[in-house]
Parts: sequence; C-alpha cells; structure tokens
Amino acid sequence: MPKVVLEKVSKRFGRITALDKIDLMLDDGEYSCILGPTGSGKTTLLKIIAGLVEPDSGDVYIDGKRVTGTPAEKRNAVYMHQNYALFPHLTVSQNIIFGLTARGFEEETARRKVSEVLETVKLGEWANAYPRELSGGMQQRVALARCLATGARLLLLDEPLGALDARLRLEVRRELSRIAEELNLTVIHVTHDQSEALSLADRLILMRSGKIIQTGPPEEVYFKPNSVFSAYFVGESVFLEGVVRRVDGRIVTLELRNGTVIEALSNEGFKRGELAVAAVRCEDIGVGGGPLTARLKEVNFLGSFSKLVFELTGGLKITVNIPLPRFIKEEFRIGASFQLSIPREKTYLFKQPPMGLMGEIEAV
Amino acid sequence: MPAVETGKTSRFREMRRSIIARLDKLSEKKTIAYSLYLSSIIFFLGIILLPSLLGILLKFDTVMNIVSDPELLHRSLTAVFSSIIIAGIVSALDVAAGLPLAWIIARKKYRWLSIVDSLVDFPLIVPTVILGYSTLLLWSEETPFSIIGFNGISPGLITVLLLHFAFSYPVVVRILVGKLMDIEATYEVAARTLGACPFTTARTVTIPMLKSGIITSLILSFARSLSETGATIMVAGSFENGPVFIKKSIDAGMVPPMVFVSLVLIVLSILILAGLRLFGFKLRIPFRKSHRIEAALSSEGVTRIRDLFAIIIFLFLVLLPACYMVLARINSMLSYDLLGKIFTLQGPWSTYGVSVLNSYVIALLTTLINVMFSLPMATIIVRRKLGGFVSRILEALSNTSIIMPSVALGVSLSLFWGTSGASDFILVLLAHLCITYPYMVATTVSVLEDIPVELEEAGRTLGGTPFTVFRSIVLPVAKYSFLSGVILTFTRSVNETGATLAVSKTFKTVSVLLVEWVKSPGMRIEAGAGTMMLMFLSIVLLLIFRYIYTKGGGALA
Ligand SMILES: Nc1ncnc2c1ncn2[C@@H]1O[C@H](COP(=O)(O)OP(=O)(O)O)[C@@H](O)[C@H]1O
Ligand SMILES: [Mg+2]
Repeated sequence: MPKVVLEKVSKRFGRITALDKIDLMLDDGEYSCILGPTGSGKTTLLKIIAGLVEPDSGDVYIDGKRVTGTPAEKRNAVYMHQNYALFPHLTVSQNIIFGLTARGFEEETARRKVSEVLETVKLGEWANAYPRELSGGMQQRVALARCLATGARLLLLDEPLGALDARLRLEVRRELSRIAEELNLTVIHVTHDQSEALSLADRLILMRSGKIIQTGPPEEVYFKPNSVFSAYFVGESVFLEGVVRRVDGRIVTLELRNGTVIEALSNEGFKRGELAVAAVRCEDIGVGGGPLTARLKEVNFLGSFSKLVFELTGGLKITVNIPLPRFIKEEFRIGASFQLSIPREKTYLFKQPPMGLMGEIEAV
Repeated sequence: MPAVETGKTSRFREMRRSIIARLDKLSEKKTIAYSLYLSSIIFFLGIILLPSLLGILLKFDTVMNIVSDPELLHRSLTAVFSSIIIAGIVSALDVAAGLPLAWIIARKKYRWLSIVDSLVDFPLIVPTVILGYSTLLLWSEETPFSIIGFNGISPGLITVLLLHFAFSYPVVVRILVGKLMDIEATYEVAARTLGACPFTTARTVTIPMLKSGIITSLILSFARSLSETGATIMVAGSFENGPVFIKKSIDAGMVPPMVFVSLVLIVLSILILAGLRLFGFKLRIPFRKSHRIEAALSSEGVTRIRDLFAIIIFLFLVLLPACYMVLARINSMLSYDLLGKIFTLQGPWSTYGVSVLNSYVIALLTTLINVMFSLPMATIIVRRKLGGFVSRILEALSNTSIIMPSVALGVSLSLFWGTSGASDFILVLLAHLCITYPYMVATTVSVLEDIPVELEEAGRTLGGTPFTVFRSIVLPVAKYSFLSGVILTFTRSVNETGATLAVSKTFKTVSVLLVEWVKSPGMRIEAGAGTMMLMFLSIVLLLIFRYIYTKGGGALA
C-alpha cells in the first residue's frame, strides 16, 4: 500500500507559486530524496505533508487516509527542521520526552524510550545537557532522536545534513540509512546536494520552481535524464546547442554553432532544421582519437579524478573528467592540441528548452 | 498514569492533568481558535477602542471651530509640536540610558543586582501625579541641591522633560531586561546550529532580537509621554504641550481643542509609530561600526564608566524624584507616630486601607482580563492569522488608547459609560482596561515576534496540541518578557489617576486618594506616608509574585 500520496497539491505565497499541482506516490519503507535548488519548494512540500502548511488545493494521503486539514500533531509523520529547532529551555532528554508525553505515553515508557533513542544516536551521556552545550553534529542527532522517539513511521527530514561539515556529513549519512533500515521507516529527505541524494535514495524526486521534473531510482534519473534540467542537476554534463542537420532512424546529426558536427541517438522524433541541446557526461567524453580538435586550457587535479577544460574552435568550452589512472601529468600540457570523441550512444538529445539553454539552467 | 501517589498532591495533579487534557482537546479545534480571535477583536473594538474615541467622534464637527480660527490653530499646532518633540527626545533618551542598565541587570551576576532590579519597578508604582509633585519639589521648589549652589529651575520645558524621563524610563528598562533574559536562554542554540562565532551571534541574533524590544520600548514611552496630563500640568509652568493645552481649555469650558489636538496627536503618532515599526525592523546595524562600537564598549574601563553612569542616571533622575516627596517629609513623618496610626487604621487611614485594597483588586482583574484578551490579539498580529493587512491595522490601532491625552480619554470614557448605569467599580475597571491594554498587547507582540516559528512547528509536529505548545514552549521561552508585560500592566493600573477620576466619584483607588491628599494642605504628611506605604506594599507584592512566577517556570508550565 502506498504510504504517502499527493494529488494535485498547489501552494502559493502571494505572487510566488511555491508548489504547482504536485502529484506524488511513495511506497511504504521507501527512502526518498527530494533534490532541487533553493527556492524550488522542497521545504513547502515537506511541511504540507507534515501538516505545518495547508495546501491551497489538492489532497494529501498518508497510509491511505486523507489527511488534508488534519493538524500536524494528529498525523503519523514527524518533520525535522533544517535548524533542528531544539527547545532551548529543555535538556536533551526533556526535548525528547516532549513528543512522548504530548503523544500520551506513560512516564515509565517515555523514560525507557528516551534512553533507547539516545542509545540509537549514541548520545547516552548527554541526556542532561542543554542544546547550547552540544556541537552542531550532536544537536543534529538530538533532533533526530526526538523525531524517532515519537514512533512516527514517516520521517520528514529537511536538509538534515546541511549544517554539518563535509566529513561529518558522510558519517551521518551512513547513520541515517542504517537507522531508517533498522526501524523500517519511510523517509523523505530534502537536500540540494546531489551526491547525498544519489547515495541515500531508493527514489529520487527532482524539483524545480514548484514542479517535479523527474522521479525514479537514482540510477534511472542519472542514466536517463528526461530533460536538460535533469541532466544539469544530477551528475555533471557538457551541454552543446545546435541545429539538427540529418535524421536517420535513431541517429540524429547535430551541427554546433562553430560548425562541428556530432551525432546522438534519440527516439524523440527530431526534425531537420530543429534546434536541439545535446548533453554528455563529463566522464563519457573520450580524449585522444576523435573527430573534434580542441586545445587544453585548464587542468584541475581533484584527487581521484582530474577536470580538464578544452576549447573547440569558436570558443566553445568542453569539460572532461578523467579518472586518476588515465591522468598522466606530462601528457596534459596546457595549450597542447587534442582530439576528443563524443560517443553517440552516451549523448542525450533534448529539444531546445523554451527559455533557451541558459534560461533552463540559470533560472535555478 | 502517574506513579502511585497518595494524599492531596496526587488529587491536585490529577485535576491539573484533566484540565490540561481538556484544554488540549479544545485547542485542537479550529473553531475554538477562531472564536478566540473573534472575541479578542470584539473586546478590543467594543471595550477599548470605541469608548476611548467616543468623546472625539461625538464632537467631531467642532474641529472646524479650530481650523477657522488662526490664533487657536496656531496655539494647538504649537502644543502638538511640543508634545511630539518632547516624546521623541524622551523616548530616545530612555533607550540610550535604559539599555546599559538593563544590560547590567540581565547579564552581570552580582547579588545586589536583584535589588536594583526591583528598584526599577519602584517608580512605576508611584502615582504619576505624585511623581509630578515630587519632581517639582526636587528640581524646583524645595531642591536639596541648593547646598551646592543649585537654586532650582523654574517650571517649564526642562522640568517636563525630567518628569517624562522619570516615568517612562522604568518601562523601558523593564521591557529590555525581560528581553535580554529571554535572549540569553535562546540565542546560543540558534547560532550554534548555524555555526556562528560569538560575535556574529551577538550581531545576527542578540541585536535583532533586542530590536523588537527596543521598538516596543520606544512605542510605549513615546505614547506615554504624549498622553500624560495630570503630572505634566504640575511641572509645566506656562509651557504648553498637547495635553496641557487640552486640560486648560476644558477647564475654561472649551471642548474643540480637545477634539482637534487629540485627533492630530493620534494621526501623527500612528504615522510615526507605524514608520518606526516599518523602518525600525528593516534597519540594519552596520557590521563594521557596530563591531568597533561593541569592542570599544566592551573594554574594561569604558564598561565601568558606562555602568557607573547608568546607575547614577537611574538613581538621580528616576529613583530620587520618585521618592523625593517621601524623603522631604521624612522628619515630620517620624514625629507623627505614623506606624501606630496606619496599622490601627485611625482617621484617614481606614479610607486608605480600603483604597489600597480597591487598587489591588482592580489591578489584578485588569491584568488578568488583559492577559486573556491580548494573547489572541497578539497572535493575530504577529502570526498574521487574518492576513497582513488586518495585522498592521490592528497593531496600529491597539496603541491608540495610550496615545490619547489622558484628559481626552477620561472625557471619552465618561461619555461612553456615563449613562450605562454601571457601578463605579465596573467603570474604573473598564477605564483601567483601556489604559493598560496597549502595554499588554505591545509586550506580548514583541514576545511572540521573537519566538522562532520553528520552535512552535517542532512542537506541533512532535505531537503537541496548540495549547501544549503554548504552555510548555512559548511561555517558558518568553517568560521574562511576558513577566515585564504583566508588571507594567499591574503597576500602570495602580498608579493611574486621570481616567479613574473622570469615570468615578465614589470608588477611590489609592492613587486618587493620594492625589487628593497632596492637594489639600493639611494632609501633606499623610500624603508622603501613604505614598511610602504604597511603594513598600507594592514592592513586596511584586517580589512575591516574581518569585512564584520564575520558580514556577511561567504561569502554566
Ligand atoms: N511563509 C512563506 N511566505 C512567503 N513565501 C514563502 C514562504 N515559504 C516559502 N516561500 C517561498 O516559496 C518558495 C519555495 O520555498 P521553499 O519551499 O522554502 O523552497 P526550498 O526549501 O526548496 O528552498 C520560495 O520562493 C520561498 O521564497
Ligand atoms: Mg528549504
């Protein structure tokens, strides 16, 4: 039975449309990540599911029950705020107990639960500390413990790792998926960090300007982006604008601005003369032996891979990611000339977006 | 179920629990919330706003009399102008001098500070008219500084400024202390989660949070300075501000100046206050400058001097005027066998006892009722429950009854309630509700403004009903600010005279009685002794109340 269903949910704040007719269906026990740029409506979506914001129209179902209009405290869902929102006047254990007594647990049970969840998040010794005495990472764990303790089966996490430093983020990421697995929770996790979303999610929900652009398992979104925006926001791609010169079955030939010709595979029914955008993953572009002649402009060594920026004739820039074993420093001299290849089976071809390529990417 | 307990405490807890459970149930219903909002608006319009304005509304047509008379128009406008200037100067000085003292009280941990803290409330209890009389004695007629060659200043602008500073300063300190205490509890969390360093914390959290307290202080002291009449007349000499001009004309049988001046004052100050709210919040303190100023202000030497200065200002310009009338009469009081007479309730002292009781009953009821109705009102205003436009209008209007010159307010109230046949007790209660309502709303608004919405949301999503969230999160987080609202309301009710006199002839509060005593030459000693007694009683009462309140972690928690 689907755990969370949204039907045509819309929300406006004055002139801003925060959510535009959102439809969504999430399964029981699924870990979903909502990925999208700031202002795309992620928080609003989560708060609507939590019951903290009322939608202007549309319906929300949790566990098959329509909950639109049900106050937050009556929903079997708990929302964790981006800044944790710990109660400053209460200790760690009092913070956790709040939700338990509010939900009518007996004192004994509540106490037992507190030590249980504190154990889960490994904060046993800090039960009597005040939030201000804890580090950012610890506060994050208290906030999580406080949510877990309520026993709600649906956990709504709003950028839960946003305020942590990079190392801690990786650690907590693993913790989160362990806990969700162990307690068999349904989690909706909001983030604007794609690696976080790709690594955690059973299902990725990609949002932009109040709309869901694409949803599916992370591999699917990564390997089959349905739009320029998807290809831009998940993974790293080079975008090439051009005019369709030939269509031969699935093979589409595209002429770029500088006259270079590339090929891509598509079933989308492109027509000759049509404007199109091709996207290629930076790691899929071959260096050495290919039809495109380019000059190396920049080399960025990033550890496990290097980022090389090439320039085609006419000033078009192409970024290529090369894994460490293939990176030989002496070979890649700046100013040297290279041949690049763009494999047509790995090139995604999209219709020209209505606002143009930059419009699609920059309106983010 | 609670652990097995016996005796009364368990029954009491059981009862408390069931009451809370019932309120929880009620608070879940949206209809309940909206009927609370509705009743608070009806209360505001029907009990506070309309009665306050009636005198003006009924005589509105007389405005033309003034507008068509150049001389009268000039005099009116000059008076209004003086009022606004004085109110502006006084409220600015209040904040400038009040902030350091509030900071000392809230942040430093000396034991004697709790005494200073209670002394701040001391002048609040003194009936303002008595404070006026006392100011006149101190700075002009019987100045003790003649021994250092200061022969007093003649009544006029300066004495009016001194008086207004003295009665509004404690209000400002009280609000700022409450705010600082609450911020201390909240700020570090918010800042730490965002990974801010302590200085950034001060700049991004403490100062902006204090800003709403400063704005509230400015509003209340500004409005209070505009409206005060009785004491101002005592020290004004031939100088005229708005209320003095109104009072003089009413005494001469002229009503139009009251209507005109009150109207202009209300319109101007609503504009000024709305502007303050609008731009005050947008105003940013520049980082560099504030950093340098903070650093400079934080150096040891400067801190000492600043603290000393703050305390001296408080002692000489506020506390001394508040008790000078008592001090000046102390000799004659000692030879009068005061205590014996007071405690056996001889002669005038039996009237005194009754009037003290009257005052406290009225103050208590006023505070309770205003707390009840201002909470939903503040929620409407801050959380924009009925839209931003309604919020702004209600907020601006809620200050009207303290902007109104108190003579005009008194006239309006007696016109409105005069024919109702209600008892004097009820009339006085209604008048006090009008006068103190803005204090409670303004402080509650600033309380709610500073509570991060996240905390309330977290409470709800974790399973708390609106009532539980209010009781165990909002109130404890803001308990000191809330306390300052309660104290201001209570003390303002105790020291009010103008409107009380206007609506009631038989029912006497202690302030009214003391003013009568001051005015009759034979009762000067009693007036001093009575004032002293009142101060003493009120301080004790406030200390007890504050103890219970802070120990209990807020009224309901
Ligand atoms: N309470 C609100 N009042 C007005 N505008 C809001 C409010 N909450 C969100 N918005 C606007 O709605 C849009 C979506 O916001 P939000 O859901 O917070 O996005 P995200 O979490 O993806 O950054 C933004 O443009 C934001 O400014
Ligand atoms: Mg957000």
